[in-house]
Formats: sequence, structure tokens, C-alpha cells
Amino acid sequence: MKKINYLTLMFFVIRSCFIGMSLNTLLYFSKNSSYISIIIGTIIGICLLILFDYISRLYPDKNLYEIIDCSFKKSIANILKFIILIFTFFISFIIFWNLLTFISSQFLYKTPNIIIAICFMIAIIYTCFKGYDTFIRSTTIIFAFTIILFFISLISLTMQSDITKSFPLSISDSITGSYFFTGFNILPLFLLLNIPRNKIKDDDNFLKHKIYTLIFSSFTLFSVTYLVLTIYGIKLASLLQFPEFHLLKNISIFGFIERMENILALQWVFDYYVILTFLVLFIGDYTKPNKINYVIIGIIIVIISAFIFSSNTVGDTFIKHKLSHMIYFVYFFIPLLIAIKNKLQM
Amino acid sequence: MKIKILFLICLLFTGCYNYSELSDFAIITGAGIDYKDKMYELSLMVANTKNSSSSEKEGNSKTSIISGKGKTITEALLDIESKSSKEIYLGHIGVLIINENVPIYNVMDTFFRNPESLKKYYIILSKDATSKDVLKTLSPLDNFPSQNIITNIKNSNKTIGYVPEVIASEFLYNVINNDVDAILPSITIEGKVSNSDNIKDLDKSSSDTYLKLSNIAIFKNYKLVGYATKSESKGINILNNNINNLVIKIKYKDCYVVTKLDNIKTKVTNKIKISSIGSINETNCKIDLTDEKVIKNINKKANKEVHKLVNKAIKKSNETNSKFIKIKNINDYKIYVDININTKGSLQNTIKEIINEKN
Repeated sequence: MKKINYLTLMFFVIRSCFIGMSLNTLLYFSKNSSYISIIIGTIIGICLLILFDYISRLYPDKNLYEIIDCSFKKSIANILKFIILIFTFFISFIIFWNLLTFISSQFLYKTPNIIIAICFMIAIIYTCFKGYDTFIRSTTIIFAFTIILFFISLISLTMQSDITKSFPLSISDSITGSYFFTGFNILPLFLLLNIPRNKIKDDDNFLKHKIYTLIFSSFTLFSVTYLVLTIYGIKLASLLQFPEFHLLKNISIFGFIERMENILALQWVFDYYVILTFLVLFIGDYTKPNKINYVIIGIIIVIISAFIFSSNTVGDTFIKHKLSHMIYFVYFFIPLLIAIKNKLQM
Repeated sequence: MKIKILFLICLLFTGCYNYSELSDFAIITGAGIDYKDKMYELSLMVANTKNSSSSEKEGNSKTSIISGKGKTITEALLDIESKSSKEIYLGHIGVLIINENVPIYNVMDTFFRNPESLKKYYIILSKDATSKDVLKTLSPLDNFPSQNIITNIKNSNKTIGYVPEVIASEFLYNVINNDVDAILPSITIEGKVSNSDNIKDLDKSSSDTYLKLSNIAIFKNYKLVGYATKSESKGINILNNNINNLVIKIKYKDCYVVTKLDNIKTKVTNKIKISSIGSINETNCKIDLTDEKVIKNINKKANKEVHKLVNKAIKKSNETNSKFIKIKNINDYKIYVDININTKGSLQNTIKEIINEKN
């Protein structure tokens, strides 16, 4: 693998679990203080980035599975790797289910989910065939499109916001929300340890650049949350399914360019595409990565995400009340364990 | 081999699944809902009828209204589908007309749940008439009654001052929030209601029937509690910063001076400040407009008049106990009005004054 710069991938990983998952949870728990939660979550995220950076420096030439092998005894290492693998598979089912729910409820409500699933999974598997290098290069191009779409949305909607609709604010709600924001949006960065440190360009300033990427990515999410609350208010935002998409329906550029929500919503679709491709690559790295493995992983994700939840209500309740705690158990305690074990060994 | 597989995949995923032609849809630009004897009557105005695409022929209406009845709005919609050869498409609704008796929450739930609709359509209350009759009323100025209503609301908001523009998402926000109550513009039919859809009526130079925008309908929670008068409606729009232009009539001695106020802005700090620039539109008074004292006097009276309108709106809010004014605790604020009448139109003085000088 040539030396790569995965900052654009990091940008998408932070944004990936936002629509339909993180934002709904924040609106449920933090209510009006959701955008303050994102600020607090970003500050906590900087500390987590330092932890992940420390782990990557321990074994610069190894991916995540190899780091675990070097840090623990064989039996414990196998158990931890297996837990990470199973949980990552589980997360990919939920993210794919969320993507299908978004597409089928807002765009293609008459098309069977399986057709939408196959369309996306073919693109994801094909990207996996090309490997990390091509995938990360494609994220750079997708990043440019996403930024353009984001700034068009931001500039068009800012004049419609009314900050009084987002009052009153609450510090306790903000802190509660930051727990969920960190879980959904920052902790998945742990999976980026799968790219060995010595494959990264500009290694010296990498932590600084990662922090800048975290801040910029969080700014995009902060803007969306702020606009949702200041345009719709908490009650209407909680009532709507995918309020961040409905927000785009309010855009009217120069008074006559309207109905752009379908194009502007592509920024969310790109987020899903990138995270799902990365997750398939990550899962494929557990065994020897080859094309057949990626196809099998893709088929498993398509089939299980169709049956994982019996209804939207069951899925939303699970994501709000259980998923974030599970993410902490796997993506926070395991890296903490790795860091402590290696520190003690030293 | 790879290229053959890719080509096959491209053929399968060209988006032809569930393919629909535009001509298969009945594009709805206006909807009206009435509620009587526990039954909903849904009336939809179809824009793309057979006649709408052809050139104007004598005696042919360009639009078509289809109505359906049911115990729920969806049942009424299905009743319409059974009468329509085309699939109903609600994505281009421009105006939703609701009758006074209709349960608001049910309407908003149904229309908001529909993924096709944009949630940016206007909502208006039909007063002393059914929504169906309002939707049927033809206008000599517009081909589509729904378009007539939409442009009427937009223009009246700019010129008359007592008609607010209320879109669906804003209305739903006001209905579900505890801090604020909703208002809606209302519309009535003037003239013979039975003649409202008669296209021959449009051939006359003066139509027998026409739609007229009326006063603001006030809601408390989601229930209609009453209507504001014209003065109260103007005051409500001023306080909600939902007005740009306003025409006020000032009594000066024993005659009237009509002033037009532009760029009305309401700012709330520790007081409510209403500022505007005015111009004199009409006067039948024998006054000297070149005298600075006269202009100052007119300014003072204009300030008082706006103050009166605003006070009427606040009084209405207290009477109905409805929070339709977006300023919280409105009674705690002092109101300052600053109107600067700086232009007199194309005339420097009044014609009556010139005639008086001549004599």
C-alpha cells in the first residue's frame, strides 16, 4: 500500500452515523441543547484522538488486529479481535438498515428495499475490490462534492434560522448529549487504526491535522443541528423523520431555484457509502482480504439488514437506548485496555 | 467478460423499475377539506386536465375539481382515486384550504406524513363558505383558482397588511409548540356562490362572484377561537414582523390623510420599537404640506394610529388568551412607534390648498 492521507476518510467516518442515528438521539436526550452537546463532544473527541494516536505509535507497521495480537496473549487477543469483528459487522447492519430506511422513506417509497440494497452493495463491493489506495483517493473527490453541497445548504438556510426557537438551553442535557455524540460519531475513529501508521503521509503533523479534521467535521454536524433547531424548533424536529432532510426542502436559491433537496441530500448518501465501504474492507482484513470475501460480506450485510429490525420503531428505540452503550463497550474500553496494557508493559 | 457483466448490470439498474409517465399523474395544485356529519370531503384541483394543455376554447374550464368523501382523509382520497383515471400526485400542492369545522391536527398529520408534499404550501381558512366552493371559484385574472389564491395571498401581504403568509411547516410549528398559538388568513366568497364555477361569468366585464381575503383566524392550541378585525389583524402582523407595507388613514381636522408605510420593522429589546418610512398617498384636506409643522403633526397622528392598531392586537390576545403574538410577555413591554413621513408622492402640496390659494 502506498503512503496515503486518510483525513477525508476520517471526515466521513465522523459524519457517518449522524443522520437517522446520532441526530435523533441528540434531539431525544438533549432537546434544545443538542448543538451544545456537539461542542462538548468534540472537545472530548480531541482527548480520544490523542489516545488512538498513542496506540497507533506503539506498533507503526501493524494494523489493528496485529496490534491486539502484540499487546495480549493469543487467547485474549483472539477474543478481543472476535468481539471487534462481530460488533463491526453488527454496526454495518445497522448503518445499512438506516441507509435503506432513509432512501425508501424519503425517495423511493414504492421500490422494494432489496433493489435499493443491491444497487448500493454492488458499488461498495466494487470499490472494495480496488483496495484501500483507490478507495481513499475516491473519498478525496467525494469530499469535494460533499463540501460544495454542505455550503450551499448552509448559506441558503442560515437566513431562515431564529435562535429564540432553540431556547431554553440546559447544561445537564448538553453533557448527556455529548456522551451520545462521542459514542456515535467519535468512537468509530478507532477503526481507522486498521491502517498502519507507517503508511500515512506527513506523519509528524498528523495528530494536528486529525484534530483540525475533527473540528471541521463536527462543525458541519453542529451547523445541521443548529439549523434544525432554530428553523423547526425541538417539537417539530422530534416529530419529523429525518428532519435534516426536510430542512433541505426549505431551500430556495435566488427565489426561484427550489426542490433541490434530492441533490443536496447526496451529501448524506456519500457519508453512508464511504463508511460502509470502509467497514467491509475492515471486516475483510480479519481473514485474508480477497474479492470473494468482500462479496460474501456484502451479501451477509444485505440479507441481515433486511431482517435486523421488525419495524422502524424497534430500530429507532434500539439505536437511542442501547446502541451507544454498546459502542462504548467495544470502541472505548478495548482501546483503553490496549493503551493501559502497553503502558504497563513498558 | 467483465464488460459484459457490467453492461448487463447497467441494463438492469436503469431506474425502469416502477416506471411512471408524467401523463399518468393527476398533478394537484390545490386541495380543500370540509368536515360535515363526521365525514371529510376532500376536493382536489387537478392542473393537467385535457383542456389545460389545449388552447383556450369557449366554454371550457382549464381545471378540474374532483371530490371524495370518507370517514378519514385517506378514505376520501381513495374515493377520489376511484373516480380519477390518473394517479393522484400531491407533490405540487400550492395551497390547502381548510374549512372552519375541520379538525386541524388530523389534516396536518395526514398531509405532513405524505412523503411527496413539500410542506411549503400555503394554508388558508375558508370562512362562511365551503373549501370546495372556494376552490371552484374561477377568476378572470388567473387560469387556475389555486394560483389565484396563492398570488392573492402574496400580493395582499405586501399591499393590504392584514393578510399573513402562513406556510404548512410554520403553521404546524405554531400548533404543536406550547409557547405560541397559530393564526391563519381566511378567505370568503363574495357574490353568488352557486355561480362561482360558471365560466360564462368570466366573459362579462364585471364578475358576479369573486374570492376575497378576510381577517386573521385565531387559534388557541389547535382550536379556532375567533377572528380578528381588520385593525387587529394589522396590529398582529406589525408585532409579528410579518408586514412590509401598510396603508393607514389618518383623521386630520375633518378630513382624511392616507399614508403608506414602507419597510415596517419591529425590534424587541427592553422595549418594542416599530419604525417605518411613510409617504402621503392621498388627502382631501385643505392643508399646507409645505409647512414642516403640518408634516410633524401628520407624523404624530400616524404614530398614534399605528399605536392604536398594536394595542388592539394586544387586547385581542388578552381577550382570547391566545399566544399568537410571537413576543413573549407582550404586556410587560412599552411600545414606541417611529414613523418618518418623508415623501408626498408626485405632488408637493394638496390640490385643495392650491385651489384655496387661487381663490
